Amino acid sequence: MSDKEFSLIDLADSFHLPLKNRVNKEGYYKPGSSEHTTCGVLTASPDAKEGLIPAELLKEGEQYRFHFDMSRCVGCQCCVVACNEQNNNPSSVTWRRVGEIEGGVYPNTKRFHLSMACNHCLDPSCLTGCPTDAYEKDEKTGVVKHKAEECIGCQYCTWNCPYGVPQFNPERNIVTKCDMCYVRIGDGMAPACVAACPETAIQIEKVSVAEWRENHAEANAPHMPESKITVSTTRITLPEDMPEEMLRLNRHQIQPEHPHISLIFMTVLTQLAAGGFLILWLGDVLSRVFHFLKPLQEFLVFGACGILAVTGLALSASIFHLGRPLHAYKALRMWRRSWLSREVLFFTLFSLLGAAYAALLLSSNTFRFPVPEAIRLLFGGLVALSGMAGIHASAKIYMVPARPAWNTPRTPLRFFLTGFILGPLFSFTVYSFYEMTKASGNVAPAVLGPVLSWLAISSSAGFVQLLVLFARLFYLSEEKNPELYDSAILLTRRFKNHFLIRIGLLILGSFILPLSYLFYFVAHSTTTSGQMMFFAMTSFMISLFGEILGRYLFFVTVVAKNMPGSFFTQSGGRH
Amino acid sequence: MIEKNFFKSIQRRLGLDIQTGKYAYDMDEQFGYMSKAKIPDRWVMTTCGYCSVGCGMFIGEKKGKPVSVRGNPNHPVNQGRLCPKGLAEHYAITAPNRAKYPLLKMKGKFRRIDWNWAIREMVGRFQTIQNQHGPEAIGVISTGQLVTEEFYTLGKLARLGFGIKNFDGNTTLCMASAVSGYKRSFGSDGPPGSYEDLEKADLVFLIGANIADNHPILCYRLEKNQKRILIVADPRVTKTAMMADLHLPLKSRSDIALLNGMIHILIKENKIDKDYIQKHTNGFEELKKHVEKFTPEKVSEMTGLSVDQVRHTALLYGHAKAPFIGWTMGVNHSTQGTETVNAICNLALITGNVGKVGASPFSITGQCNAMGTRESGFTASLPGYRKYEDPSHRKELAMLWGVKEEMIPTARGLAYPDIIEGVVRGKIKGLWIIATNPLVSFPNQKYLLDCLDRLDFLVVQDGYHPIPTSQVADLVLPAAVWGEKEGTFTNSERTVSKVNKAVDSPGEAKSDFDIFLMLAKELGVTDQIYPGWKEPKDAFEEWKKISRGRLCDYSGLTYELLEKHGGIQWPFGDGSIGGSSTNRSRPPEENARLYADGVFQTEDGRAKLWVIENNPPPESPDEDYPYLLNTGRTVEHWHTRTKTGQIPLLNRLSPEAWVEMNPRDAKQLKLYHGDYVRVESRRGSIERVVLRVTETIPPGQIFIPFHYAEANANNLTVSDCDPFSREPNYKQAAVRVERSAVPLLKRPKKEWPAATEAELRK
Repeated sequence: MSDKEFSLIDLADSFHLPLKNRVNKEGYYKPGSSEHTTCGVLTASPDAKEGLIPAELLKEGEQYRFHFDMSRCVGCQCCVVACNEQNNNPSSVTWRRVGEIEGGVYPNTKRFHLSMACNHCLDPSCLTGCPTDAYEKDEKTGVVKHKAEECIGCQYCTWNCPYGVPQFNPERNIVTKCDMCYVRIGDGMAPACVAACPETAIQIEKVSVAEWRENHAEANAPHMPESKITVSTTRITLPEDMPEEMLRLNRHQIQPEHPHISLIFMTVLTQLAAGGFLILWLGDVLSRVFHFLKPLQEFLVFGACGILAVTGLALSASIFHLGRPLHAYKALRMWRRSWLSREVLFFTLFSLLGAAYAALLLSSNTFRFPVPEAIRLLFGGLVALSGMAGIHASAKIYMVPARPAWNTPRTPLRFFLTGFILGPLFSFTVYSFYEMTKASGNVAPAVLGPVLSWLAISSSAGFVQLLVLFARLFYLSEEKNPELYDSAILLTRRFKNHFLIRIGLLILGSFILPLSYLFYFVAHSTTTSGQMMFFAMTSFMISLFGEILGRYLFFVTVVAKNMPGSFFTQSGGRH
Repeated sequence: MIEKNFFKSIQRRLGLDIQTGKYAYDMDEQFGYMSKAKIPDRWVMTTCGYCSVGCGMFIGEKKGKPVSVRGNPNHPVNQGRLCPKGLAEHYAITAPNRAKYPLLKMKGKFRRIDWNWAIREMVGRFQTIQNQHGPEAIGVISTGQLVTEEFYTLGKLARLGFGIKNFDGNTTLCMASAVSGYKRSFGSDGPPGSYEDLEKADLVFLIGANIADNHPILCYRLEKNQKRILIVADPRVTKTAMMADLHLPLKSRSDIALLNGMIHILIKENKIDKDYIQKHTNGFEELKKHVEKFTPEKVSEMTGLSVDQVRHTALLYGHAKAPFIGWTMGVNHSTQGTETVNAICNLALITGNVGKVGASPFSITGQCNAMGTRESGFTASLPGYRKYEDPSHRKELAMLWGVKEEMIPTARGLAYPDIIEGVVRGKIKGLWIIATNPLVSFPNQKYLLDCLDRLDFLVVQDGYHPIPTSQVADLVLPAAVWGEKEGTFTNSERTVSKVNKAVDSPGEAKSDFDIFLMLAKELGVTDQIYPGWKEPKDAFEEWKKISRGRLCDYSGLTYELLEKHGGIQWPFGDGSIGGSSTNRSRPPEENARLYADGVFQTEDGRAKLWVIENNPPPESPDEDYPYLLNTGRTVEHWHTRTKTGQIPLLNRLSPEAWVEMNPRDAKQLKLYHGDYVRVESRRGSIERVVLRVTETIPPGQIFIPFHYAEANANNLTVSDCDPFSREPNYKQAAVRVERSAVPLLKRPKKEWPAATEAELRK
């Protein structure tokens, strides 16, 4: 072998060294080199010459995307800092994040980093969920843009995105996200993260939308949410020498999610109102058929007013959830697409129709302006229907693939059951107030007809709720899905006491108290309005507290899908 | 104001104010579309003030405040790239813990005083101590964070002004072993190679160097080299090891065995450069005889590597046309640091791979201006790499300065660790610490705390207060930091770059240069040591004269030339002296290598080959302390976090110290990923530090980064130092680990990868 022909790589090959990322003897794979052409307008750009951004303009049916080379990334975090400097974000908001995974056994250990920003998906779930149309998939570039002015800070997109990309900026009270520095790309300059990478591990590429939709397997990586959820466009080059089993470095970070106090009250109270109204309206209808429900007739107007008051309370609670309460009205905008818009729409309808129904009742009962009963019943039916639709829409909001613990039929079931546990008990309570106002002393036995019906409905719902809870526990403990597994850990360890109390309150409010009331009544055969009041209040309050605690656990124990984090960073921000 | 804030907060609550202005974008002429708030009034060209890679960058100044930084695309070192610390460097200037006023401790409490008082107090107290206990009763510890002009000025002030003997830099904690090693092998300090070698080498061999974490921009240079083979020797599977084609997971402190083994194989295989050895080295026969016993089998046993791994490494090195060896603290932080450097130089010398394009034994330095302080200071050598013991060097200096020859010291003063020991022995009563934070960075903290307690007077001159060391000071002098002062930094590859002032210092903080001048005035030595000096440029002009004709020749450099070219490597002569190296007169953008002609700085011009034994570290694990502690760094933080600890994003990415432990050890101790543990050595303990169970570290070893004062790895480290360089042995200490507190959450299942489980069952 003459000296000229000698190559150290040949020698290394003869030792069978697993040369890193070498595609051939000529050398390392050079990113983006194939894209160099002379016809593009961006060829003059130094960043395009280096292969950081495409040299050619996008053709019809193409969009920009990130390419991330996991075998090149050394986890230096340059991209993260450069991104925050580019966008003036506070340290709590990082549009680009670097995660770490490792596998193998020493000394054949492999550790890899994942630097991820927005994946500018083909089916962006942030966009489809947004109630205000604050998102836009740019027709020209494919970039998923967020319009700050349109955002009301509801943070629904942060629940929808399986990658934890949109992040709430507490300084602005709105959500913000990566826009691929599309203006820079247009100027022939690489995005901040791409330009900052010392390893050329991040690039901007072009992708044919149709082809990618057909096959997007290259968007997947260990511990990344599966690309099919939103058809992520980021192409990830995986190292060839990756062990089969890789561990997340942040596997110990199982943090409870934000409890969303205002949402706890909003959901529980709207469900109470919707469930209560359905019961009330059924009472209105059935009292015409069943004699034992007759006493309900004169109570209807009180019940309806009580429920309206609760609805008002619930809806005002919901406004406090928003980053920008004064822009709440915008939430109605996207009712064709977003379940959040629909929820707002249905509950708005519910309260308006409910008010009309109450007015009709009032006018017939008090002011002697008789309205045909059929119209009133029809109205009531509409109210009940919008209430049920509202609960359904609420549940749909939470049933997102990015949050497996919520994305189950148990969620709507639990929401409806909350309505049917609390609704009747609330009616019972209002009813006992109403009885108190009439006269002290014993309650007429006839009154007990509706009361016992309510208790029967509430207890049955409570029983089913208990079954649902145990079912959740059963499924969680069997779980292979990592998010559900972590969720189970949160529920049974971190929030063990909360969970036990929640079950205790459910049993107390749904079974022990109603039954003891029944026994008391059977034993004494009469009851005073004061006693009835006491029973009604206690069972209602205990059940209400039980459901609120249950909803608290619903929020805090959900574990969102996300990209893997580093040892110190939980995958995403807290939502 | 309160009303206005209240109104604002209501507005924000209601969502009427989404901070549109703060989050607007605009076009910057130089760097394109970016956050409008970060677009400055002017970009000030400068050089990064963190590590020794020496990246060129710009500070964006807007209305007197630093608002952003960007890499300089035209700088020869980094071509626009910066590491995460550099990318957030402007926050270090505006950090909330900046020292603003001179503070004097009275009755245990700091009181603000004016500068006149502070200078009078310091000079008075030091002179009193010197009068009582002799001139050697004062020690000065400075740092490679100062610009060359300041370090040169300080050297003159300390040695010629105060007459202080014991003057050293914290560079002794960092790369002193490289200095001693180069001196022993080549006759002088000065790394022969260039970063360009990373791009031109066909083999890059890194020993104890985790450049991905510590010098990320060198990875950028390395990645430009498409055809290199990278070998990394490191007991940990570092991020750098993951970049390697061949990772050598050798046992801690067995690198000398590996190097001797490689020499053994190369001699056997006749892959040495006999001609070069004969012409340019001394001591080959002794070396040859010595490495006889380092057979591949013996080396395999000593290093824990396979015979094949040792052989492959040696053969790749031997066959390579341009093999480059880089090392950092894995080599230097050792009681055998200097000798390991000699072993590395042996390997390079017998193959003739010194100062060739792509091939050199190259010490990758630590601090931004460690090199500048090595050349210009009065620490390990006299300014300009002159030798204390050489009368002609002393005479030359005295003549250049126009001082009496007797004023030039004839021997180096105490090294940093020996100054500390001097305090403990009561020989040193006053200490002046400049821009360094030993209460985090010095090994065996208990010992150091005890030492500082014994001082009569401690002056801490720093840009930051309170920091652990300034809190125990008697006098705090607030200094300007990077971005607030002018001068030059010299990086690992001898590239001199300009550092510029972008903004004014906060409060009454003054540049170190101005402080030194004030002290000289108080001492009444201004005319003698700083004739006519007003600004750093005056010091630079004098330094050019002092360095003229020396190996580190700055005489051809000017501030204007540096600004124009971003950075220029020394030697760069003014043409008056030809010297042995032709590289002195060349275009400024060309790289200069040392010893390309095979002529070294020894008396006979030949390099020395040393016979080096592989000795065990000062402390090895035993029954009571069964784990070997290794210390190091992380990419997000710089040294003792006085700067990066104040930068919210870097702190978020790496908020606290951690311990890395192998799953097999963790399982034995019943510890889980994310647990908090207590680590204890014979010298001290860390009470609470989070556990990272990882296969990146071998069983029996643990790793803790040293940056964190709150969980200080240096509570555990040993006091032993290298006999030649006096550099401490940070990398090995025996410790034990136990559970510290029960964590809130842990995952009981899936703790160990299945592969490990299988391994355990074997």
